[in-house]
Amino acid sequence: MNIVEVHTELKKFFGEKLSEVEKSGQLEFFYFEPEIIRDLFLVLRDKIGMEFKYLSYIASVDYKDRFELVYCLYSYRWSSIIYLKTKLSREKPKIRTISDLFVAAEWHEREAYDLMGIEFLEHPDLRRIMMPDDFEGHPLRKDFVEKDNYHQIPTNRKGMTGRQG
Amino acid sequence: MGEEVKNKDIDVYLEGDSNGFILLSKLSSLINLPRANSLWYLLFSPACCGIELMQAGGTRTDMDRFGMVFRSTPRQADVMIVGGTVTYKMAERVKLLYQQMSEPRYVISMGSCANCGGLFDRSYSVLKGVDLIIPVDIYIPGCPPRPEALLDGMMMLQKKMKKEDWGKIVSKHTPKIEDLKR
Amino acid sequence: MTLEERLNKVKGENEILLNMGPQHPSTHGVIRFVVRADGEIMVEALPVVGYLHRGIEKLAEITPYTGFIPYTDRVDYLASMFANHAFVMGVERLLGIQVPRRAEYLRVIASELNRIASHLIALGSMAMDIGAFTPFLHGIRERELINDITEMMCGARLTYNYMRIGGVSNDIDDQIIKKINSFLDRFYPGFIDEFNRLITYNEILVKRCVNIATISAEEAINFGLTGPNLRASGIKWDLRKNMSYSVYPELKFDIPVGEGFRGSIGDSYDRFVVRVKEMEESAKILRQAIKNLPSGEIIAKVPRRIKPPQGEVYSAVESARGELGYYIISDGSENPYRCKIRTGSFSAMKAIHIKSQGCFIADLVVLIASMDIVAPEIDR
Repeated sequence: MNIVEVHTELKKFFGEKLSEVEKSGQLEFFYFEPEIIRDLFLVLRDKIGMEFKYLSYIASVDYKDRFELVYCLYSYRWSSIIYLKTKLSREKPKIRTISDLFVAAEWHEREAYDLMGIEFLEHPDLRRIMMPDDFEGHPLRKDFVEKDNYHQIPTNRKGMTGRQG
Repeated sequence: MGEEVKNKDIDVYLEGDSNGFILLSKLSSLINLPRANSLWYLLFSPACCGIELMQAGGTRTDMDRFGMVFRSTPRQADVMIVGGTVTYKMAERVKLLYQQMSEPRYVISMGSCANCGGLFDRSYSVLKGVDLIIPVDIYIPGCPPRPEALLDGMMMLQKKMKKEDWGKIVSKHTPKIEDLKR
Repeated sequence: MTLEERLNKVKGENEILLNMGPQHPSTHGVIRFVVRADGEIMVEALPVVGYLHRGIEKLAEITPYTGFIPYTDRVDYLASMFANHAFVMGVERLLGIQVPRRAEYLRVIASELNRIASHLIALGSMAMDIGAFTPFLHGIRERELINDITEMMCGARLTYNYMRIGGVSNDIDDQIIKKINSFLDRFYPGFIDEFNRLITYNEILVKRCVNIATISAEEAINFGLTGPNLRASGIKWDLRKNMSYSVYPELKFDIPVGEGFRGSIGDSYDRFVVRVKEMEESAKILRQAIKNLPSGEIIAKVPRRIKPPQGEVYSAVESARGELGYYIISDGSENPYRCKIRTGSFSAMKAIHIKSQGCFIADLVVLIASMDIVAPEIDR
């Protein structure tokens, strides 16, 4: 079951909420509207004939004017892999969680929250995962600027005696 | 009759024959000798160098023959081998572990990451050298250093320990009478 | 919400909090668990990760494609060939480069050697966590032999940096082939038989592992487990076969799955045995790959400055810890625009959190070790 078949099948349910299948480099994907995420993933997971039960990863991308989330799903039954994307606003990126549908999503969402600053509504445990709790900023954003020191530890080697940064 | 035994590591004056002999040496040297030959290291490896540390404790490089065995708790360890990248989140833990070790204590910084940040120098979360938070005695370059390099570093530390003045170490960490009065 | 708030929110009346790590001998790197226990039984073991978060994904954005290969080594230091392989495969797909056949075979040889080395550490350290130190030394001893081979192949023992975009860095000669063959003769069936007699069938190890943290097939898929952990739950899924890459379709091998060797399907003992069986399969692959090794070039013609066209790619390989993939976005410049790394251990940590509920505290180390997690893969 390749992405085009999945897309035509899903069009019956969601219609205009899905974009057409696009191709960028080696990747074929389509966009979906953020508000249908839970219905969409429920159909993808449980509908007989799809059974995309395995969520490989959620990648967050900063495009400077918007954020994008990339969901990668596998179907072991059909040995197929699909990619879905959604666009979020740059100012207040918010989307509902799918961690109750896919347990694997919980940590990927936490990672996207920590490093990219995307908020996942109704997430059971939305905390920073990689960085310390008191860290400021979201490092994977393109406009992230590193602070001069963290807890009085200098974050660069410049200006230190004997060594150059 | 008397002959001075030249030893690089300890100063010994030996006099006598088969009936008996007198051995003269500094107490410091005599204490340092067993101290340097039972160097227990803390089993603590933040990153990649930890695997080489494990290999060094393995069958081929066998650090055990020099009296170096691993301890899982900092309270029983003499030397801490910081083998790998230390992040800001980890930095406070490393400091805590160092403070938990009993005096006299030593630190070996193993690998480029612990020395100066190494490959991850430009990263937003990596401490640029473990010497920013704790004092380091020996630096071992390499990414990761071979077990032989680690062993060389450990033996350099042994040499350093043998030259130390034990009296100064004791007096530094003994409470003064004025302190006890309070 | 901070960790303290999270813990205070759910803490029950009779529960105690127990801290494990980050410096703990059996957490395989710097991973911390905050165990909420009621007596001897855990309510949950909350993983706290990020102590080795080095920001590799951000570094990818300021490093040229060729320069990023050494960083991929550090994504998984126990099995860095796979991390190399996945990344260079992604860039090759973006550029549309055809890799020479000899290079593909060399990649397979290097990868399978690395898989054996990684599993040896995993099995040895699992036995060590349970309380036996000798198996670990056995693993280390054999691993040194593999390290010798990889040192001859690429000059490094741990972080290989062997693969290049378009091929591999060094060719192998008859001397190395002889060395690999002598290693294989010693390793399979000789060493594995000895290992099985000494450790795998050891009744103490069996009793510690059987029926601990059983993961059913449904759960394993939903948790996002991959690799040996998934196969131990009885699912025959291997990227080498199901989404074949490199020259794996030309090689014959089986996919060992968990069959409930002593207890139920998907318990810790199954995960242990599946790894032992995978080493056997790797030895089989190695013998075939060396026999069929074609002659020819080891690296394709690639431009000096690598500038892939705009586009995206996801390339995954079957690593020793499951699916290891790179999602690379190229904007046409010398550096990747975004590079997301998907690793096997990251999903396994969430599974540990869920499966620890209701276990004994003593069984937590078995669970952690049987998942074969490694810290930099989680944190990256």
